[in-house]
Amino acid sequence: MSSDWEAIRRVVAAFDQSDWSEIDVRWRDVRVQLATRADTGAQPATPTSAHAVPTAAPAPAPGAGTGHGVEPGAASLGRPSLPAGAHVVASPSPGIFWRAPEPGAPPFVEIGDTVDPSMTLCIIEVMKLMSHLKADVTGDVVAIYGTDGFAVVKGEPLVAIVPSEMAP
Amino acid sequence: MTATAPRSLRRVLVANRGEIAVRVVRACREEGIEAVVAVSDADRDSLAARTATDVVHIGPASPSASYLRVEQIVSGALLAGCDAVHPGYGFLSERPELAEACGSNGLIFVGPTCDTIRRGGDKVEARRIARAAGVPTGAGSDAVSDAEAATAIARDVGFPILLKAAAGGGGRGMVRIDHAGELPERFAIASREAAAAFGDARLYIERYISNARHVEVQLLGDRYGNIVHLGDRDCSTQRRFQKLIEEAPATVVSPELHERLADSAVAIGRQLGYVGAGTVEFLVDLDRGQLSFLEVNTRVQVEHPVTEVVTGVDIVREQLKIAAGQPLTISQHDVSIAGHAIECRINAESVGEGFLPSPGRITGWEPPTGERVRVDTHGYLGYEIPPYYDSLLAKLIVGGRDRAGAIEAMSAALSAFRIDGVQTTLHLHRAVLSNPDFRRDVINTRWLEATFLPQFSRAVEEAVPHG
Repeated sequence: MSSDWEAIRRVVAAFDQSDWSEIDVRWRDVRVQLATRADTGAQPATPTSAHAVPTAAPAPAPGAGTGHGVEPGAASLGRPSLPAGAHVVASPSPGIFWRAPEPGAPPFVEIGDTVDPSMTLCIIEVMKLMSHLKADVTGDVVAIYGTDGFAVVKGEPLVAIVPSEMAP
Repeated sequence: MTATAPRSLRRVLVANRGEIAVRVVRACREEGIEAVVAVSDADRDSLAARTATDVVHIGPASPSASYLRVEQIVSGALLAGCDAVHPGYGFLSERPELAEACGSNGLIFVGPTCDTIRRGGDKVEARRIARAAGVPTGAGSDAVSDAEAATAIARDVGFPILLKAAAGGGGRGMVRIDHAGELPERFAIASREAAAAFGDARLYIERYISNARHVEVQLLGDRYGNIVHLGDRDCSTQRRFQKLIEEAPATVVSPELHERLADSAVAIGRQLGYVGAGTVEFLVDLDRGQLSFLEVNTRVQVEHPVTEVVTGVDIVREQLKIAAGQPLTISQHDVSIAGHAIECRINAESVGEGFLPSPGRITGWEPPTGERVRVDTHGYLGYEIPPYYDSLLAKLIVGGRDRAGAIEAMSAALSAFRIDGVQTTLHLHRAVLSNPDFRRDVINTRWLEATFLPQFSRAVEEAVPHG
């Protein structure tokens, strides 16, 4: 329809005259996606860390919240198998998983980092309320399951830590 | 007297979600305007989307990837063939960048000019404007550079004080400080938080008034220099600086103070060249009987319905008319306040777990009905409340002949309201409405947190059988 083309032309003109780096809007069966050259190919808004492991499979059995024991089926769920006794920090509520204090900032923790109980591992955002999840134990981060900026369900495992006293 | 003939908007993009998007869609329909709702991935099924003429998809669920992106809103409006953008409240409603981008792309922004938004939104500048209009601002400061300067000012003003973000507002970016000892550390944290939340680290100081009422005045202004006020509202029932119950008119204010509040608000509106709907907020010091200016909100407010109930003026429809370039349809002489109205904000929160937000599916939904009962909501049976946005689920608004009548009607409406599947604040509101302090109107801005909630939690604990 010619009015569709007219509307698309207005969007392109607006983009050309702006300092916007990227837009992506959909209306009926039209999708307009524009990016400046420097940004071409970049994924919008929710970059995933190079260290991120595949997004978590369904939440493990009860007890994940307090975090003891490794599900025997972990490897078959596509997750790296964890050393026995790894401490799994799970989401206390449904929400959005954030690895960093703010967009663009370095993540709170990376795989391989040593953490102690006072340290924040991630933020769970529920309806604008930000809860900092702490490590609970001293140890090494061996897995990070959540994808930054994505929704998680209650009880979903987020970070696995091998407590120091168990380290070889 | 107008240079250009008044016209109408044809197609409005509603750049918001939740109950206010539903509210704006309704106002558009009543004005004969098409409403296109901007939706994120999480809101395709929203009530606003279902009731709108059309929807445009503006990105992922996270607000920073959709509702908070000026370029997504503006290009969505252009793509869907809109001629105007209504920002609602929150999100981009008080960002001058959206008003500016609308203007440079031939879209009408339903709200004040970007200059008004900028000056009103800078709380330090707004205090200056209030003083220029002859309105008292209460003891405090302009922007303070560091903790040392802040301590000197705070000693002068007297503790406790409030440390506020210059770019904050609406209760965000505010911290109470009781002693000089805690100031340096809190100053550093507040400054960092303000920089992160608002991109502006500037802080200023206000004396904390412990026995006060929050009273605000609703303004409407058109492009031809006409400004009217629609009376005042009392929003003193708050938790953590967030309003839970609002009433119109303010009841503890003398006729003389009503007038001073209104005159002050209009004077500030004139200083700002105010066009559209806006609110000027004040604190009324109950011990001294004095008012002091708090801030200007350059948008429609959550609690606008209580004013609509007592004045009969539809504020959102007025916004649309003003944006279209029409002169105000009412003069100050036409505005009269009849009866009393109360609004309860029903949030999806678990009161017993420290007001923890409670997203999820609504499995039972029976809103109350009645002649003077209004429910502004985006809830419906089967709706899945997403975890991405704020917890406001419904506003229950009830009118009565006077405050006592409105309280009775509200209590009845609250008892009839049933919501299953998520935790809500309904039972908290029922308890507040039956509380003797609330009924006798002897509350202040601290009452809910300092007096009511401790009693309420004890009562709830005792009611739960042990074991």
